[in-house]
Amino acid sequence: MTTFAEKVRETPSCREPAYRPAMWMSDDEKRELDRKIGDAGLYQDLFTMREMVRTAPENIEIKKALVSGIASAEFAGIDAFSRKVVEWQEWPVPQTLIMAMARQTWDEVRHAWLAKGLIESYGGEIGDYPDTLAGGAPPPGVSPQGPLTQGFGAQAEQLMREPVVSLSMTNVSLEGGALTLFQETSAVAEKIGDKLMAHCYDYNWADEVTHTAIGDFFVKQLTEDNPEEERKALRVHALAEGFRARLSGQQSEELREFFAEEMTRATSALG
Amino acid sequence: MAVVAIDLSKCINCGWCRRVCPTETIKYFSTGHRTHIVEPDGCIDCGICAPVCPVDCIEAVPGYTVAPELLTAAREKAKQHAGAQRKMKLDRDAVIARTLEKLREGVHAGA
Repeated sequence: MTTFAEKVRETPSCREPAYRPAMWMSDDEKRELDRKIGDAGLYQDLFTMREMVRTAPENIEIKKALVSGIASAEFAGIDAFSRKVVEWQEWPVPQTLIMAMARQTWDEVRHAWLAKGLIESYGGEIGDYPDTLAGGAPPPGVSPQGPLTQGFGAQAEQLMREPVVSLSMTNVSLEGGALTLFQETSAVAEKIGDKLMAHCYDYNWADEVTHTAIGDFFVKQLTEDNPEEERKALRVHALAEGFRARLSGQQSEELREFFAEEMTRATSALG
Repeated sequence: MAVVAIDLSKCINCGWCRRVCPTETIKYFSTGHRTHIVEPDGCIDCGICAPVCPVDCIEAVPGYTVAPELLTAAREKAKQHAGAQRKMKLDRDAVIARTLEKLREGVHAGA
């Protein structure tokens, strides 16, 4: 008999309008983005987009593009966290963690709602811009876990379903990193006099603090007295941070050393 | 001169302090555990980390004296960090200026 969790796993993500990830943009779509925001290549870099908003606050398309890029991750968050509410019931995790995932799902719904309202206040709508690397469901046949596991096969997908891995990567690393983006975006919005944008991202920021705290609390609880699991949590945190560092061109000395140490461990394991 | 310490009972490991530390003296991945720790001898008392902490868990440790040669090395590292940040900002500003110029000229719009 198929369990509810299995059914959910087999059900592809969907949204109306449908997801349209930027990485599968056609040449025509790239030209359209070039026309609207100057360079389609910039669309994945939300930090640069935000600085463009600061530099050219009168350009409404750049504002729409920035908010659409962030909204993409909010929609992906609704999908991801709601799946965990169901799937993690088959894992040996506390019921309070399941409830925390339900709360996070609702938070992401509010964030997506706020983003939708903000885009509409600029005269646009969800779907005007493609989904960014950070979010969106991929086309049929591609891993539903997103770009971090694409190309790594079923084992990576399975790994991402583990609560410790998922919490460390998504809640602690990605949402912890998003704190900077939200706070700085809110500050830019304040500076250019866009009170609505400032308010929205200040609101999101507060929720992200809670999500990071939830993730950290449960990773601690689930890895207590288990050094292997703790190392795994640290490893996926490093992977997520390394991924982000490569995008921004910044990687700390400590992160480089961590990966070198991991390589040494892997080499010794191979004998 | 003060250095800072992190109250681990409050820290949520968001890593913001570590990402902004100009001397990379706030460690996490090398601690072997999921804890953010300040290596005091790399701290230059710049005051950047405490204000960004969302849970206010970074506090000054007054009276700690960093050896002069370590302080000089840490300040040098901070200078290099600031230089790299400045270069990144200038590069980004140049990209933005080029992009906005293209938009103004309507190159892509075919105007």
